[in-house]
Amino acid sequence: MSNNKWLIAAWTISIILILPAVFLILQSTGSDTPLFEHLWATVLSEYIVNTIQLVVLVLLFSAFFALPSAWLIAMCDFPGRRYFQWLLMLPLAMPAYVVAYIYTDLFDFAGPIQRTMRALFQSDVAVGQHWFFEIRNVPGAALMLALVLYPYLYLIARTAFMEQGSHLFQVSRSLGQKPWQSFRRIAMPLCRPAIVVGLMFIGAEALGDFATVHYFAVNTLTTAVYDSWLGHGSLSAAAKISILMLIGVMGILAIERWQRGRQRFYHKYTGQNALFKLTGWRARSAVIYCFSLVFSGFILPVVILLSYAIDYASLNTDGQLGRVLLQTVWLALLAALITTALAVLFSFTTRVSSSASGALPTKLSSMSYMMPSTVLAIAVLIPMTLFENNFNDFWVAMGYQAPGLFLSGTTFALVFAFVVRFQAVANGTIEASFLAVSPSLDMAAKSLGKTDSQMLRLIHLPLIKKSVFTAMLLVFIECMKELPAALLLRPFNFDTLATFVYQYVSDEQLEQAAFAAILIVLAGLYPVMRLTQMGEKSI
Amino acid sequence: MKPDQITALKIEGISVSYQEKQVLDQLSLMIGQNEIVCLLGQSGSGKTTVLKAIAGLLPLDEGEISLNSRQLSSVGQCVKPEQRDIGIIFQDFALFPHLTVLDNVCFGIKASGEVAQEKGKALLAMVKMAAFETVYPSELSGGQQQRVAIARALATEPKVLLLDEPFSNVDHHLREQLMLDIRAALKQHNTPAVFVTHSKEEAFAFADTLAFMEEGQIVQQGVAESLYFQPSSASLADSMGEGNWLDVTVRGDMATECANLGIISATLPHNQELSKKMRQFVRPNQISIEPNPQGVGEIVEQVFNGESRSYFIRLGDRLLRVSTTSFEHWPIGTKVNIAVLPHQAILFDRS
Repeated sequence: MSNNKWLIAAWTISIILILPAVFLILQSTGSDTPLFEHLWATVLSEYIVNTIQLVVLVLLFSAFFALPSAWLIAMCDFPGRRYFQWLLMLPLAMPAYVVAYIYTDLFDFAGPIQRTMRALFQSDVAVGQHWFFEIRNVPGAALMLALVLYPYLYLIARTAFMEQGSHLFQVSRSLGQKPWQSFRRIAMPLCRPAIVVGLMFIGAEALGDFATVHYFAVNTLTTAVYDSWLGHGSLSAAAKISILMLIGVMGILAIERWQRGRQRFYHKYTGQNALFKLTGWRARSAVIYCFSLVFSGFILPVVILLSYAIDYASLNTDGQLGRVLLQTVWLALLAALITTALAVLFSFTTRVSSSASGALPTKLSSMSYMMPSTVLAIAVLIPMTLFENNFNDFWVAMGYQAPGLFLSGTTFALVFAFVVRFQAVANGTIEASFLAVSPSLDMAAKSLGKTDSQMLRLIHLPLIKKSVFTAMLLVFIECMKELPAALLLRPFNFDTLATFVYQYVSDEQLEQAAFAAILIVLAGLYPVMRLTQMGEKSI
Repeated sequence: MKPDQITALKIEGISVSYQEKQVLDQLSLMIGQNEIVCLLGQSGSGKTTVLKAIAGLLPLDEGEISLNSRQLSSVGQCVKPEQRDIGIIFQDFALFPHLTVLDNVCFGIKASGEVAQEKGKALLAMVKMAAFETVYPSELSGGQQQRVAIARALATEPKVLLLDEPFSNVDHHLREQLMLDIRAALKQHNTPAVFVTHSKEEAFAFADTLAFMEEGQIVQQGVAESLYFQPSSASLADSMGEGNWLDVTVRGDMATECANLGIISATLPHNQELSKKMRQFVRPNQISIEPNPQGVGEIVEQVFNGESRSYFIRLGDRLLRVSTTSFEHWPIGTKVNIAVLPHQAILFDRS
């Protein structure tokens, strides 16, 4: 039987999923709008500088957090090492804006730190009369982001250090090099590609961050996109700024690809590493270093959230949270179902198609993942509003009443955006599970007279059902946590868990949504756990 | 170590534990100037731990290690690995993947660029790798990587070289030549070496003396022949090569008797008390067979090994393993007479 119908379906859908990116590029090449010209002439250069500053500082802070801890865990033995190995991953489950809120609260003039200091030094001064460091600025935002993003670099650097093995280091020392010289001449050059890959990943996340900088009132390109659309209603200006961000992301990804390619030459050591046993003050410093990262990135924020939730428990009884939860689950479930079904379609098409082009729909549909979600939201709006306008005109010309914003003004836009954004997540999981199914099973099924569809139903799906579930869960959680796209695309008076929490953050009332924030953190623990396990397996 | 040799490395009564488990138990070992010693033993007997202790990668619980009369390790004291003048070669060669072959060799040389390069090139020529100076390790075969690793280790002129299973990642047919070349390089540099293996063939070919390890201790040390012909323990006898365990009774200072086989003569007195029931270990090449229709044994299986041929002979209710030259070929089912050739008896208590 021909497998053309699979190919046609896969190609059509993957082209629909790539449409937003195509329209974004087309739109941005159009003539300049007055708003964009105005922004360009006035504040945009400042926003660009802020964005670059933010990304660079996040990278520096992340490297400072992640590299020493990765080295300690990979090469040294100290009390609690086995626990820190995965505890250090936990901050990844914290949304940066929640951490930002909590630290602002702590360090504020009216916060406990400054209150205690005033009490200690018995100074009785008004606001602004004594110096205290300011957190609501670019370095502050960078610190908050690095505190929850460093685990990406930690995981990849730790794996790289471990894969080097201790033999190279021991040989270097037997050849007369001191530990520090060995680190500089052997360990660092070998891990550089992996470290750059990890940093670029964090850089892309920092560039795309919206909530933290918006909350701190730091103007970056993401906040400019947001304001252009929600504030000034100019899709075209938003598209042009988005393209600037996309260029930044492309640059980052190019560096990532280049360094990833360089890693291939290095052998992987698979034996057991001899750990360097730390004692005395060295062991204590190692414990303090690792613990303070886990404490400030996870334990402290969670404890504070819990205390908020307990203190304000009575305020959460009006059923608002229940309604939001229901909406979120419904939406995320729908997006997860669609995404996973499409991932199965794409991977299956790749498998049964005889030509190399059969693999393209998977690749094409995964591409939008690199767009920051603020950019993606704008990109989704462009073809949608275009279609709606033409359809409305057509409908009116036919003598009916115009249906209005039946796509961009409804949850359709949100679900579509989620599918476009997280298709890569599902594709990755499903593709890997298909690869684990031996191709000889297909030949056996074919030789026993089964069609493609029967083979999918009787052989493949039963074998990959665990991964189907995993893919759905991962996409579900991502949808639940996704903020910028949801903020830009949600219909009037509609909230997801993330927008609900963020609304309270920006109203300086997170206390009242603490329970919802805890739910987001809990949901975020599952992908972190999976990532940690994968990191462990690759060693 | 031969009696007239000067001691280079002295290991005296060392105990080492790793992750709460005692791995070495009061182990002692002397290595002479220019001597190549092989640590032989089953996996888990503590061979690699001895190397790590010598290299200063593990602390000692007891005993001490000294090199040319300089103390390296004792309880609570440990000279750093980089200050020990000890070279290490690992099973995976551990070449630095981001450096060329020549840069790998020059890595530890403390001299200015040009002098170091000259020295590196000379070493590469010695290990027959001069043509590969600018190549990266990933482009080399296992044997080639091993040659580079040897050159790199010798470049810093170590006082002793440690080799951990150095030939296990090298193709079988290259192994013998590589062993001869490396042995020649060590002898040329007058560098004593300790090497670890679980293969007796490698030990025989590469080492001057062998030390057999069991449960963290050295059971026997000596030249290959003494371990092969006079093993001090049953497990050493077994790991030195195939053999037959026979239940015997001592019949004299130079004779034992085995049911079905009769008297077995010894070439040296074994000093066992008369009539004692013992177990005797007889190598396959110490038994001869001859076809005879009235023979006590019957050939049940035969294996052609190239240089030799192995026969499995049914004798009563047991199988004997016998090795002959490969020219003789008797079919399965042939009845044979069996004679144990006079040899130095290997006897152990029956327990």
